[in-house]
Amino acid sequence: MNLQLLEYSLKSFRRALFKNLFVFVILTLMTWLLASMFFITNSMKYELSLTLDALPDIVVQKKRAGIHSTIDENISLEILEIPGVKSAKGRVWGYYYFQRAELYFTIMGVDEFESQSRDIFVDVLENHALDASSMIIGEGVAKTFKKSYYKEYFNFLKEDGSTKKMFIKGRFKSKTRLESNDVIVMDKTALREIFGFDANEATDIAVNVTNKIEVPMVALKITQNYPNYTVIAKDDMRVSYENIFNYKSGLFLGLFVVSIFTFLIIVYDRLTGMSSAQKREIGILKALGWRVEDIIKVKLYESLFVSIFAYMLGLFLALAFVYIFNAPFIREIFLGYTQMKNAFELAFVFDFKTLSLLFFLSVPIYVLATIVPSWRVATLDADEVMR
Amino acid sequence: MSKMLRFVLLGFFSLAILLVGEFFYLSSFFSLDKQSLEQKRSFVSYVGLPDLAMAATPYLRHRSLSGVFDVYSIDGALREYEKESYLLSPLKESR
Repeated sequence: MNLQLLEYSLKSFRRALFKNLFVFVILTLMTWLLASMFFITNSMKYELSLTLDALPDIVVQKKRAGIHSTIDENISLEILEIPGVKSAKGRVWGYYYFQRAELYFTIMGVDEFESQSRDIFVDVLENHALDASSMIIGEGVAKTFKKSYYKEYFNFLKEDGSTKKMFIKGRFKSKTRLESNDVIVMDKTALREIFGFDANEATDIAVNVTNKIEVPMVALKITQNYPNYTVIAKDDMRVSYENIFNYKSGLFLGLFVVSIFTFLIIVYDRLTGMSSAQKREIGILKALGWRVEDIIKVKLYESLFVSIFAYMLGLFLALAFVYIFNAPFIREIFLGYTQMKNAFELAFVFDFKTLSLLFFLSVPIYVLATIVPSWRVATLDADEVMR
Repeated sequence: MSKMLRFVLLGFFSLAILLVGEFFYLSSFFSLDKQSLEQKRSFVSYVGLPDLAMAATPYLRHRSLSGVFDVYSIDGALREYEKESYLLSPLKESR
């Protein structure tokens, strides 16, 4: 590296200080915005993919008039007869609207024996077994109950208008908050009573397959046997996780387009020509005996200095914004209007691909956009340039 | 080497060091540890439901298990009034 040329390029930067600073600020903001967006999506996808294996292999739902409807639990016995199926079990779960707080809880019904010996509860109780009148709740649910003065129990409004009192037996650990915040787990029979389900009525059927390679075949057989049911294999859920943000229309796409458009305007401005002062500067340098490569080197140093500095600063700010400050303003979009706010604490994921994408989207393009017009002018005769 | 060049180089390398330091800091204190990971897996296998508790609206909360028309169950006019529906859309009816 030629230090004299580097020094000259810094002086050149200082001569057009406001213009260069403006480009630097725009580049930094663009990197920050795109990096923040990618960091949030990466962390959420990572968080989701970690738990994907723990889900059932296939979920069978029933649709009526295009809307999700309840299913006969006895269907699970017929599904069990399909070769390769390890287990098939009707699940009772759904949403409960708590009108006072204007929000929904997700309630899952489990068999009593299933709730024992689990390491996911806050309370240090020896036995977490649920009975017909107790439940385990997420942190967000606990806070909502507390606001409505329900500290030990909650009165669920049943379908017939009467109430069912359920006692709070435990809480899910805060480390699972991103998954468990709005979840209530209670006995299956009690939940059927609250939802007004019949004894054999279930929300869906969870199917597990012995050999995971056979999952698509089993899913196909279920679809053939029950053509009016929706069959969701784990791969469908994986695809759903991949498409977690609706890129076709959404705020993130808007941010992305605005950033790229702003950057392209800068690139266009650089490519369509240099100011007469810049041209004269190159002409004078050539008249003084500078070679074309020296002039290009000066411009290279100048553009690298601006773009790499902006890239690093943008990344630095984005990392702090997303992981240390938990993405203020942006998190409101994710958390929506709901009163039951979840903690927006994302796990840090080092993704080299994202960093490279941001680098190649900003630095080389800006460097080229600076060098090409300089090279065009530098290859002309000095007197022609200055005239 | 002039004072300005020294100042700029110092700023450049300081920022580079800060950035690397920030990466190490975040990977040490903000990454998921083994215990948290196990607890998350244990919870999901216990409950058996997908997706994160970010959006509380039914057709968005467990979007992997919901379809486009599930919004009808809470609003017959298919009105997506939740802020998060700009980002999280229910799955297409392709399955």
